[in-house]
Amino acid sequence: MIDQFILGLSVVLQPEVLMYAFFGVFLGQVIGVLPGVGAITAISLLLPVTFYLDPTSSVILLAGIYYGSQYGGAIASILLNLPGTPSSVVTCLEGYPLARDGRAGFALLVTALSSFVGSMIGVAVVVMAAIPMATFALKFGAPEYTMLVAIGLVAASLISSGSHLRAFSMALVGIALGMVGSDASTGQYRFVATDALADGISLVSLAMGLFGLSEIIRNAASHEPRKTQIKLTLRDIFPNRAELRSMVKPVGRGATIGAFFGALPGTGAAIASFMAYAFERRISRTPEKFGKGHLPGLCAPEASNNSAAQTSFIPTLTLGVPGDAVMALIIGALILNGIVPGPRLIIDEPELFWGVIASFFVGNIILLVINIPLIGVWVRLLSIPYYRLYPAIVLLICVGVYSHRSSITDVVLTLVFGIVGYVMRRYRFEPAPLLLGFVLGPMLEENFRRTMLLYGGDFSVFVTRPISATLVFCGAALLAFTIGSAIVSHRKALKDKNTQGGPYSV
Amino acid sequence: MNTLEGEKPGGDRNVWRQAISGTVLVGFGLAILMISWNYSAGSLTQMGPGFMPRVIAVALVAMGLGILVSDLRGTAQSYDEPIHWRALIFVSAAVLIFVTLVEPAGLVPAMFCAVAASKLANSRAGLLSIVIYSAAVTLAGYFLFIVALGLPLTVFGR
Amino acid sequence: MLKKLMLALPVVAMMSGTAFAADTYPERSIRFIIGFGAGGNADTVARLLAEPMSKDLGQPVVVESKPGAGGNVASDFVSKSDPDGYTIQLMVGGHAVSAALYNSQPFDPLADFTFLSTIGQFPFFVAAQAGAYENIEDLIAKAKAAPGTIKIGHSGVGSTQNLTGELLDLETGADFIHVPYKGGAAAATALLGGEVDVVIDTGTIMTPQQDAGKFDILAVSSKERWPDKPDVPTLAETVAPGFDVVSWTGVGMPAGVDSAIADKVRASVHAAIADPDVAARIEKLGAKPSPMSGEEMRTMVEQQIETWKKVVESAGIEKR
Repeated sequence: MIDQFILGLSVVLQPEVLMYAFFGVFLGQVIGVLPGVGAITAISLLLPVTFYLDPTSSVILLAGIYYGSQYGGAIASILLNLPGTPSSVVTCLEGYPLARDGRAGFALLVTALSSFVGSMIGVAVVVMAAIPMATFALKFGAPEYTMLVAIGLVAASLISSGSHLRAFSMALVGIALGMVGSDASTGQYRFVATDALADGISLVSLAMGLFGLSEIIRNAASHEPRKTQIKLTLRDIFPNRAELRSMVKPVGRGATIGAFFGALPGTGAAIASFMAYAFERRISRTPEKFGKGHLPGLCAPEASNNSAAQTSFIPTLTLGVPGDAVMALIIGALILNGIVPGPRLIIDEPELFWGVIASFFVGNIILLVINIPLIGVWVRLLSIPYYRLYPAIVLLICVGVYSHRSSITDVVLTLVFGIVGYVMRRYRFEPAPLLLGFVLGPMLEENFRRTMLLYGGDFSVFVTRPISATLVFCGAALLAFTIGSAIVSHRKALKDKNTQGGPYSV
Repeated sequence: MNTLEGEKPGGDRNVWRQAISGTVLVGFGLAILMISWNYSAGSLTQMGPGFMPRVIAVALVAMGLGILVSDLRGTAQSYDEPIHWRALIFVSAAVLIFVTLVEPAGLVPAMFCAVAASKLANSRAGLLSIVIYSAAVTLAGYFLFIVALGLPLTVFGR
Repeated sequence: MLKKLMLALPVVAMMSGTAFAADTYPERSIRFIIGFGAGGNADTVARLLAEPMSKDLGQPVVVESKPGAGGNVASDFVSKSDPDGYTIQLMVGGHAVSAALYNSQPFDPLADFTFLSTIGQFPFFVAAQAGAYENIEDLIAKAKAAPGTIKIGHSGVGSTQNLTGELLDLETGADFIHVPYKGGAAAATALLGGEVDVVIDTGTIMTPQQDAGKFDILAVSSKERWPDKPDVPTLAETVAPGFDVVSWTGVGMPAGVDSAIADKVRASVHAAIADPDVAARIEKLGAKPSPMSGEEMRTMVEQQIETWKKVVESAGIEKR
């Protein structure tokens, strides 16, 4: 493995290839900061450019955009509560409270460090275990995916600070919203009130409305200056020794969870950060600290989604089967360059395969290096009073959502979700579980229906297949644990009724 | 999530306000159930497009009832914060102006008007400062989206 | 190398500028609508053509994705667009399929469109895990011996791949279970994992797996053997005489486009696929470049609609 990795490094360290790696991650980082203008847009626009490059450079460039945008996505989430992807939704949960507390620089640095370590663990997994991971991922059929997604939905009720009942009902609302559009299994339209909804509701409108716009409505009228660190030395924002120590385990766990989910074609990256967050929250001895800028809640999902971003190349590079649209575009670029990626890629084109993997390693170092000095710039953005800043954010949301698929309806829906999100908060409903339901709902339905078709409507497949049975067990344990702890805290809440309600109330 | 500064334990024990969360959810669930009744449910092996919506709708109604009961028993805190009417109106107006203008008039006029409208959400805005500010943000937006990113958007009307 | 990149960048930059006035068509950017998400074959073909066409027509041809309902969302959008030549569509074989599959389409699949030319034609391949079946005859015999047990994974209900499988049922009398996936790559993954027994899809998806020894390609859906894979027998010569399914990508516009404009765009399409570099890339995508006249393309679409109507009817596929 090491020899091959060194071969890869020798490819990527050629000045010209290195430049594409730099260009890719830099562009990805910039694109990622702008929510709505996702990696797919950037990659599609750059696809014609890759006709002029050799295949290795093409993939290094396009892949750099992809994982660079994972880094960038956290920035808008932390500073402005503007998530563009499911994984940056989780970053909002702990990152934005930190920024409101005047610790944006700290949050950004923690994020950069966690992302870096997470990516490196992801790269290490790709280098050492790409083939076994791919083989393992193939064991995941429809029943396994169904159970995996179901567990994700149980986890959805764990990511809220309030009542599990409320959180789970939001997940259900999310699933319902995810059904709008044409049914993936039959093509029939459901809940399509206007033609513009035939494509379904866009995740970008939902996320930007529920998080970004509702936050603007809450704060636009305020004249209060915000807390910011005016002078910013590395020492001010660098986590102290105790904080660093408290990050180690969450980052490790997050990266492991991410590496696993990333390798599953199709499902991976979207669930990874939610699962890492829910896991940290579940095992934490101080779950009440979550949602207010708790360190493990910030660094675990960040490590997780970056680790997943690296391992999501495993099915693409080793099997030639793209898991999502970004990977499909990268495969498209390879095909147009005359290389049809498949299981033989690693044997026929070792320089390409290992070059791309080594570029992940180098690209992440570049990202870390360009990120740290940029923190100062980002934080300075927050020294602008909110009443001066927010119209620009409104604009960023409008153009970002509109450019996503040139749809007026999407922008109107963003406003609707903004208002709904604003009202929801007043009634103690949180948007994060809704978003997770929206992402996972279609996967749940697709895989459940496929399972029933494949196994003739027989539910026993869920427990007779070993991996699925393991997942059922994990899910049941999680559920039992959750209900148990909810009952306990409910009793406690009843007891403390006259003083104050507990953190959980069912 | 963000800190809920406006949160006060207790608050007014208005029954209607306590019942609304659950009621809305139950209503939402029933609405889904009604619409999805038009879609065929199929069989367990060959599920139709109506199967899952019905399951989700029923679950949602159940959740809504649960929330209704728990809210009326009043163990949870209510959440009082004045509604930000001014921001609500002008931010909405800004977005609606943007969508009305972006296709017929193009990105630049849409950006300018949307920024100007959203600026009104805050009372601290004079006419001149709105114009200058909106022009500056529009210019920045033009450079960012059109020049730097090259998004395929119409700059001025067709 | 930087220079090369910089040479390429104007293509991107060009998409941003909009001409304010010019005398003749095209005087502003042209929207190239595709009915499928980024990354699929259709998307790739569209981007492949957009670049030479932009150069040829002197205005950016901007690929715009309007996915949904097997391309129907895009077709509906295009059929209702102004026939001014600024909206063109990447059509696929699915255009004829959905005409047969939908009870009521919000557009007329023939009358509402101006057909320009096909870009490329390609067949489907029937593949199974390596060593699972000796040949196509063996597969059909086993399928007939145990009806309703062998599973065919396909890229979505109502896709051409799906109907090809149904047609196979119909022509051979075998009874397969047809399992929908989200696209051919997902179906191929399912075959790799053994979740389904057979997959029917394009050469781009099958060839790399065949090269790696994972899949056996058992048969091809075209009437004649496909030049890329002369060893693969046709379904027609083995188990289903007369079997002939060839899908295509093509370019269309809304009905009523000025014929001079249509000719100009058709010429640009033909020029693009005549370019050896583009042609080579189309071939890499598993297709044969196939310039056509508008009339030829219309006739072909008309015939395919008839074929699929028969399949949908006799296979008892529920219309939408």
